[in-house]
Amino acid sequence: MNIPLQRLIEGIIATMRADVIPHVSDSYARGQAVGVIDLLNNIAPRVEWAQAPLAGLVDSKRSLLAEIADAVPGIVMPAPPSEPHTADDLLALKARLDGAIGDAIAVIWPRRSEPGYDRAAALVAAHLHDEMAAEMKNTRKPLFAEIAKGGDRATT
Amino acid sequence: MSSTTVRRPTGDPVPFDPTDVEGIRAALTAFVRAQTGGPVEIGPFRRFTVGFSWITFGFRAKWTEGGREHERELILRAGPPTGIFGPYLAYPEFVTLRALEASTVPVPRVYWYSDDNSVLGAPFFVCDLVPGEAPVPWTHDGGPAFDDERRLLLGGQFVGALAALHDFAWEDTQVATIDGSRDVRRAAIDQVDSWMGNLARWSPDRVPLLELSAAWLRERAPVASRISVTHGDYRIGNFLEVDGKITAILDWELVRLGDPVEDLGWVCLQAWRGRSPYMCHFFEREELRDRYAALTGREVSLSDMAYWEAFGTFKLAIMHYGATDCFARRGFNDLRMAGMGAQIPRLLLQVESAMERAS
Repeated sequence: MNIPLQRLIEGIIATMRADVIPHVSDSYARGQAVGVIDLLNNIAPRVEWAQAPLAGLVDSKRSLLAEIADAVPGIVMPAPPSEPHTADDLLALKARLDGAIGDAIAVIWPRRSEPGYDRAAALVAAHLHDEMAAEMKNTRKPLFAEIAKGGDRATT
Repeated sequence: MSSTTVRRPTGDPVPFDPTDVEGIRAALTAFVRAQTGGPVEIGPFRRFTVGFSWITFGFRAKWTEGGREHERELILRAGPPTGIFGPYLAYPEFVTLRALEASTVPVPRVYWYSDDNSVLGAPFFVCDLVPGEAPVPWTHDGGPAFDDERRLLLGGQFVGALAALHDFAWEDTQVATIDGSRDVRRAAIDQVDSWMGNLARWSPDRVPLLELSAAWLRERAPVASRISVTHGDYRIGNFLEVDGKITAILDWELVRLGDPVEDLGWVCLQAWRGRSPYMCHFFEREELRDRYAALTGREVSLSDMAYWEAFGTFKLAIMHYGATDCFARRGFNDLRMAGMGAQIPRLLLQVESAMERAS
């Protein structure tokens, strides 16, 4: 999920206020909807994205860059040491490492049939696949059918 | 009936507030009065929830133009500045729909448009309300959207309208002024570059898998057999039908000039068929190709379709970054946009699979 958690909560609250609550005719249901806002307001300052999966991603990207450096010396710069303390730190570090991987791809791709580069290309492909496969474990099936029909068949 | 258009900004932009329905109605009434030079009545607005991008209102209008009275059910489509592909222009969609009125492609009749943000605060156009329902690709159980009879009935029209669009002689119409590629050797590469430019605007972070995909797409870019008007989002969900008849092809905001096979590849995306073996719930790839070739008299290779399917999946993934960005950074509070952001890993895996199939 690429959206900052605080912005996600702010957007949910704004949508509840502007687009949902004015159209809820039952007073108890309307009160419950306001209760959702009340809870979100109190949760927002206390939460951040889970750090463990982000730390795992950062580790795998550092490892990939180290392996690329072994396969084709000189095409990637060593990642600067850092000690992330928050989820935002980890996200910023992940972004820097993704930038380095993108730079490496630009060098590796045109020469991927050459020795060393072929191994680096395979490592990159495997890393990108594994990263998305891991993300999919936390990605639920979209509810587009229900959204398109206005949620007239509620499922979880 | 004539229609007048405004292309140049004439005043300071006003903020666009889709919840200020009465304000939009008053501004539209004044605009149409200025365009027609006669009395105008615009009835109450009702907002449609269709579409992820432009905002749609329906209303009844009466106006007099050239001494003749008109009364019709109309649609206002406005492209919010914070929307997925914002900032928008109404001009390409308007002139394309206007030109296609002379073709067999079913399109709503268009009346007025403006890209002047001092009118409503957003580009907009007005067209006829066309009756019909829009079948969507997402079914409750992931299964077929149609029984076989409807599948063949609607599918034939679906491919027929696409063939008619691609055969449309655009060169001597205003469509020749819209964006796109006119060089058959550049059609694919221009699109890859354009969508990577969008990704750079919409994602503050680099996306290595899409950078790899762009390199793959540039390297394998086919030469187009011709340049046509391409819809850009031609699929189930973007047409209306009544009793087995397609009444209108909708959502032309991505229209451009380019390789027509791009639209065929887009039809084949995994996202538009769920678990159905049929592209857009209509036909298998081979039958889609054969029907299109029979209608246009032009052979299309499955390998070119597979390339454009991979490109389409890449483009759809980048659209998800656009949705994420308009929620995260542009203040567009439609939770469907945030929901699309959550699906990016699924899309990136589909990009990878589509490239493997096309390799």
